Amino acid sequence: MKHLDDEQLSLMALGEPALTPAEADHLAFCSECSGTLAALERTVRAATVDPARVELATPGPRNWAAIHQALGLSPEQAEDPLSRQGAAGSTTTTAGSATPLTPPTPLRPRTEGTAAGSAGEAGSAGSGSPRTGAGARRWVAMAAAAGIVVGAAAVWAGYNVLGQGPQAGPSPSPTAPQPVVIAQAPLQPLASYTSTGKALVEELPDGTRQLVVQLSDGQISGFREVWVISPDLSKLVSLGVLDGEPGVFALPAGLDLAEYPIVDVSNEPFDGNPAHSSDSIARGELAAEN
Amino acid sequence: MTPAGPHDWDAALDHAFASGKEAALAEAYRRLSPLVYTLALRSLGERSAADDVTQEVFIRAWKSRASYRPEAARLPAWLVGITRNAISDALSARMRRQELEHAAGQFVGDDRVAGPPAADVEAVADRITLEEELDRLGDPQKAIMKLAFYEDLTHDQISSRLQLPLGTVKSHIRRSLSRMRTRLEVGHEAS
Repeated sequence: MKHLDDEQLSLMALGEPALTPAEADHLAFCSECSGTLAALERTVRAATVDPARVELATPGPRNWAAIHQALGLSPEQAEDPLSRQGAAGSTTTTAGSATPLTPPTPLRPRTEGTAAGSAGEAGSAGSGSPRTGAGARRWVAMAAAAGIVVGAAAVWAGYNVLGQGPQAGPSPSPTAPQPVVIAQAPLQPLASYTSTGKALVEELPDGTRQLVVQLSDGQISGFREVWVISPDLSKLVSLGVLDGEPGVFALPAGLDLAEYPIVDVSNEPFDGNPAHSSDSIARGELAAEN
Repeated sequence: MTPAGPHDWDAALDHAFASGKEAALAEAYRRLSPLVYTLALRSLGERSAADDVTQEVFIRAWKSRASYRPEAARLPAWLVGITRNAISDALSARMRRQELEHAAGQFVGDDRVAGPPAADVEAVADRITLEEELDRLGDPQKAIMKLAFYEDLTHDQISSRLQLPLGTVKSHIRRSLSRMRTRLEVGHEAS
């Protein structure tokens, strides 16, 4: 019998049963196929290991002191960065939070340095509770958002199928037709930010939709840009600059919010780069209003 | 107990490091020195040798930051590479020293210590390397592999989630996995 093809072996390494009994027999006796499978399984294991479960030893404070001295770093960096964790006395640490997702697809790194500030802030002391890195909460939020996506999409689908459009809701005043809120998202701060707010999707009497974003003020280095992002993190759409309070953004008729349920407000440097800066201020996921 | 891991890495840190911000070096140390130290401790078995490697890695990294390109590699993966080199240098130096000691008839006992299981620590380092490779795959390969790895979806489910033909998903999985495997094997040979 001929060797198993690499597609089958790859799916098996990922835990999908993909073999007929004859193929399984072949695998049992073919060292080439079983060798390939073992190597692919090792790769999958490494890719999916949960770093939070692996205990690491912590280097002693004299290491940073030696590095600091050898490189002639400034006095403000003299404190051992490891002691900033508020975990004095702990001899082990874990290698990472149990974030199931790695930094997402659409937020590509820029090609020039723009965010030195966030690196500094990321090192600021946490109080009491175990702190995560600057990016951690963001990706945790991303993961959470991705997790709810199936639910949100189902709600949206149900909404559409049942035709419970705004017309079925409270009847608008005949003189001044009011927009009807059809979905909303609380906006939670990310990373080093504290701004909170809310995003509403409103449907106007003429059937067009708009996104209304309200976000409390906070210190930022650039300008604020509003995005909607897909659950699998592969797509994002910019809706524009958030200037006044609240910001109102027309939603293109063809934009399916079930595909882009995550509302994100980013801090964008004035650098002419139209890509997302990877520096998000606040984020939330849309849920349909009943 | 403090989740200060390399897995929630912000690309902004890469750029801050490359442009010489000391705070970025400190943050890299905070997040990655336990991994660097533990890898060294597992390979070398002595705290003092692991201390030396840890210092060497961050000193070497900072001094050669001009050659670090954030577009090409994320800082954690780059530091893991430097760590593997530094450990291998330390092992060769020890081998030379032990040959001399054997020749002189005096074999010095060391203060070997047990740390976490080597395989686990290696897997954490490997995951850092693989995450970078995952980034390089581009879409839709990256989205496909993330769904397979982290959401445990079958290729069938991925195909309908991303609305891609089954055959396309399968061949992307095959090619991506094989590329990641190669990346790991090359990385280990180099060390």
